[in-house]
Amino acid sequence: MTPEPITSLRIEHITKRFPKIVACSDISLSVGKSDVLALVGENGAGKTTLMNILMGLYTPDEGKIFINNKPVVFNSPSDAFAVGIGMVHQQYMLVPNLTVTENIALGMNQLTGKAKGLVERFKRGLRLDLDAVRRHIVAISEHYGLAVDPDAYIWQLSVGEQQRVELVKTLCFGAKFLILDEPTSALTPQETDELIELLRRMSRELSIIFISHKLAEVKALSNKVAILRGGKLVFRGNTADHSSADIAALMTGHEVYLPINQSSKAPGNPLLVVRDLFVRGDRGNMAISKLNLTVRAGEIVGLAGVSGNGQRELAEALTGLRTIEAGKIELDGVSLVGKSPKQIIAQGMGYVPEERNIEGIVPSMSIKENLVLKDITSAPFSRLNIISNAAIDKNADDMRERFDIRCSSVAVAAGSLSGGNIQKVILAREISRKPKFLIAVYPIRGLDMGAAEFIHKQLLALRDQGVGILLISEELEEILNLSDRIAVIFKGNIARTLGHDEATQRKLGMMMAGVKDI
Amino acid sequence: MKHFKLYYTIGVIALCVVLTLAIASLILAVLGANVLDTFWVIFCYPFTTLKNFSGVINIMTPLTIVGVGICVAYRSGIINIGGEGQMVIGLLCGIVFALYGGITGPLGLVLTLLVGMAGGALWGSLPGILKAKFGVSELLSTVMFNYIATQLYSYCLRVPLLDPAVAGGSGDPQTVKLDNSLWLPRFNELFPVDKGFRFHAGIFVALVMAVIIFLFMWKTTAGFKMRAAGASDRAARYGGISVSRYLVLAMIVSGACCGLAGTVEILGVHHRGLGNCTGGYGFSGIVVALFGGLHPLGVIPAAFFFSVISFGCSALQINKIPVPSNMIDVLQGLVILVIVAAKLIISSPYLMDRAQRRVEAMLGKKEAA
Amino acid sequence: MLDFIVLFITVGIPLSSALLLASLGETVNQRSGIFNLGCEGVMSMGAFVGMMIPYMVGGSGTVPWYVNLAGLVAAAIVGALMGLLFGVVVIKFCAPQGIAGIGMQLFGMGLAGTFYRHFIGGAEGVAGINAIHIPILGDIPYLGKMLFNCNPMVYFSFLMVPVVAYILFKTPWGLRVRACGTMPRAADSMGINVARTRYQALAFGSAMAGLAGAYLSLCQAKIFTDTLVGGRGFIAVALVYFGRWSPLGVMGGALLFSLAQALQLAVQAYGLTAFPYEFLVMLPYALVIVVLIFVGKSKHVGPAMLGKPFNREMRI
Repeated sequence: MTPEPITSLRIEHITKRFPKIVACSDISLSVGKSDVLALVGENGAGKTTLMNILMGLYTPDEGKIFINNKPVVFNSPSDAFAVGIGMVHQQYMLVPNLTVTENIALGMNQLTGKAKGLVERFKRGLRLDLDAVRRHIVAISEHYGLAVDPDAYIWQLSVGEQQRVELVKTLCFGAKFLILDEPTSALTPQETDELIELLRRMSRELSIIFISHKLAEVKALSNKVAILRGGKLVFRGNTADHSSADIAALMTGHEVYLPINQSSKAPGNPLLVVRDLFVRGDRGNMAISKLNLTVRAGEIVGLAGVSGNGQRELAEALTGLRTIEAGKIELDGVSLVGKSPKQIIAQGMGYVPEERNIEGIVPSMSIKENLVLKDITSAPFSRLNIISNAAIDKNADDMRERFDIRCSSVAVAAGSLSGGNIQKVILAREISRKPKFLIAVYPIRGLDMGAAEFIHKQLLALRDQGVGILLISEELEEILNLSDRIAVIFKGNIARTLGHDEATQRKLGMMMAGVKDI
Repeated sequence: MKHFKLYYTIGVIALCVVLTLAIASLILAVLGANVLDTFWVIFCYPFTTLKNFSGVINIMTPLTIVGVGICVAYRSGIINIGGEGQMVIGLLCGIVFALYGGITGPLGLVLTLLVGMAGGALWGSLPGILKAKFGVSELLSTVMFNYIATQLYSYCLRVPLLDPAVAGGSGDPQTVKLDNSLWLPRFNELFPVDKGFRFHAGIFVALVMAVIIFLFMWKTTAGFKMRAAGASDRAARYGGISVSRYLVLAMIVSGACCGLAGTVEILGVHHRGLGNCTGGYGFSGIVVALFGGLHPLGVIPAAFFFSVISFGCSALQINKIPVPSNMIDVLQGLVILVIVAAKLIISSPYLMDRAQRRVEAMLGKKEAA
Repeated sequence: MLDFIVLFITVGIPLSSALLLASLGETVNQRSGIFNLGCEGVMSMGAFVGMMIPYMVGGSGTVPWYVNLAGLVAAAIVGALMGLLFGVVVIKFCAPQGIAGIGMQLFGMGLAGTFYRHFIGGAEGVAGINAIHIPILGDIPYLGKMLFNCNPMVYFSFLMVPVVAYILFKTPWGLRVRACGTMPRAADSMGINVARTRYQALAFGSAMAGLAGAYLSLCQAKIFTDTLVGGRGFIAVALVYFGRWSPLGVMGGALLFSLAQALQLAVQAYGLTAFPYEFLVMLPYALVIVVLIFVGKSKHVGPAMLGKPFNREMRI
């Protein structure tokens, strides 16, 4: 149950292949006692895959792992726990309809190993000893100052609380070596600061690897840094020796300048007007309450906020996908309340949804069919409800060229494209429909820099054509780059709206955390 | 390695065929039957005489129509296990119309078929509406509707539609014979061919239906929307498609096909209403639809293949092979299980990639040696 | 009237046993994330195997109790094997479970029918397991007749309600099963072998379905026919939804439906033949549909990942 301390962890020549991509290619790393290693890289650089290999979730195609200079083979996370490695995944690995204690008991049971003797095994299999687990949880949470309620159900907990449960869980499993995958991605800036403080304290007793692409955290917490790019290790060194700018350049491989909204063109008349909107969330709670928002023609309004504060519900209410409880939504003077998605689309509403793979496209249908998904009933794609394949093919060829969609053929399934190309298909469809208004939710999440740049340019061009855009994002940088005005959403309400010039990362961060007076 | 995907696909399919035959052989061996003789009867006997061949075509007719109907539903994201019930209600409506509609001749025949379709469509729409409105799983509701339909039919046979000639007797309840101008003519009555071509003209109805459904699903906007809704309901909803409406429409079309199949079976084979006349086609149709790649035109050869097997299985006993005809259900079940598993193996890039790397490593070693 | 009610309940309770056993098994399946629509086929095989063994030993005559017990055990084992076969298709090969279940149903029913006709044939039955009279309790007026003159398997099936509840909610294995059904990724990240847990759950659940089938052929009908199971497998699956994946809820559902069936038998027994019996036969099936309409989707109770295959690296 208590593994010997880990004084060194070394991985050598790890390679892992997935269909059509090499996720990790010949990576070697080492971490010593009390080290805090920041594993940095863009989305898709192979960070999470590498850590999943370290946890025994994936088996590497090549390469070895050494702990205290002894080679180890992990076939299951239990093997990793047994030597004292624990991981907090980016998406929390907690079963929502079990209590905190049950969740932790789930893993503890795997750890206690095979009991000696048949009778003992039988006894242990027959009765789940939750009390012992609860005592253990209380002890751990007191030792590290991590307050958790052992009897709460996971679905009752906030994101921050769930993260504490994850930490306690990992520590309960006897972790001497912590792996944290983007631990701050769902936290407010203030929660992030607390977490960093906590981890700094814990690093006196434990070694830590944490995955991040936020350089401020990397500088604040780590003493070593390793940078992955396209599945390869491109750099490792001491954090203190390198500036944030150096690390950023190494991370992307080139100097990246995402386009910035510099147009001074005055926005036009109010296009989208939302008054006193109330919308229920999936759990029946009021996810949006008394929200007011105005977006004018030729204006990008950035909606900043920590995810889960009503962004999804707002976007779905505006597009008619979710029924509203009360309030008023008008697009160009026409009320959208009670209209079906089809009618709202016909009013000129464009939508780049959050989950592009399952909401933006029909993955098993071809690219050309996806490009006309919203327009199949109108000419030239169909006449008298009979589909015209020639028009669909022509449209697809045009779009492929105009939006630089990289594919072997427009007849292949859209789901087989990369994330960036899927997003281009969606944008091509939405933009070519000449919308009056566009809602873009996390438009560049998970995309490489090249694709992100392309998409941002398209959004800015659309704005200059007089389209109103609501940009929903968690990335403050993206919001600050593109928006004319920035509205901060907190607990289903617009906390405040700032002009482009008065907004700063710090101010927005505080407002996202619910601080009102700034 | 070039064309690996092709080799891989062929390899997996070959493996599946071998596996299916191996399991079937094992079961036959347990039954003490000569495996080769049994397979000969199942696969070749149906082709030995024109009469047998006509029997195959008669089985193929309803199977094709039901299979096409199942395709429509499956492509639209709803698994219709209620084919049996929709057939029963369809043929019940057809029989009632034929008996009491008073229209005879070719017009009566066409109208009877249409009424049968309408009946099936109505019965099929119910689970569709329940799923669209209340989220009731169609897997369960269609099965329940099957039992209800069967009971309704046997009540109608037993009481209101009972042939007075068998009333009070111990025979199975049935209706009187339908007017013979409403029967689907036999092939040899339509064309000057050998008398052995005795299958009924329903096969043409089936083939036309398959083509119509193909055109409907791939050449009309409604078909496009149904396929989109079936492939990803969320993306379809986000694209402004009313998923629930097309779901109900899919079940209506699917039910109409099944209702037509039932009516064709009555007008072509039985010429009267009697118990157990759906022959399990509602379930076999699922096998055929899957085997035909969920494509209306693919259903045609698939239905032919299964008709051969089905006819062969039913002919086992008269060929003195000690295998009960239930063997057809075993084979169908096996085929479903093998197809659904194989489909994933073929379509998963992950598994294919792994296989490719293994094969390449093996070939590499050989070359090195 | 009182006699009618007593008859109604006396008939209804034994009718519920097969449903209860099968749907308790299905509850465990579904809690682990596997939607086993092949229950019907497994029950058919259980029914056949259950009566085959006593028939081989003693034909239609009486056999010692342990032969009947062997029949039950064999039915459970065959059920478990069928479950594992289904598992290979839906766990190993990640096949869509609804349609694979239909395959399983056809396969099981076909195989049972084929073997029955070949090895037994005709309409021969077995002596089977008879109801027992519990001394003293069984002599209580009315109540004794309704509750204490049942088949031992009836008591066994009701005993399984707390047993399954205990297994699901109080043992480490039950915790693993529930985790695998709700969030297999989380279970996997904690070192739980999701596939193995699901195989185990399927084997257990299908063994229960096999027993349910054997109850039908050994205790209820004492004969096998192609239509013996008669859709009980599908109803058992529906009852799991009705019971919100809880053994107690499932028991309530099983009782409700078998009482609806008993109503038909009781009405016939009283000679009320003016009312067409087909509509009474329909009643339980219609009731299932009505219940499915009203069983809304409530969150945080059932297995959220029901019917979803899990493969860590395949990224399904």
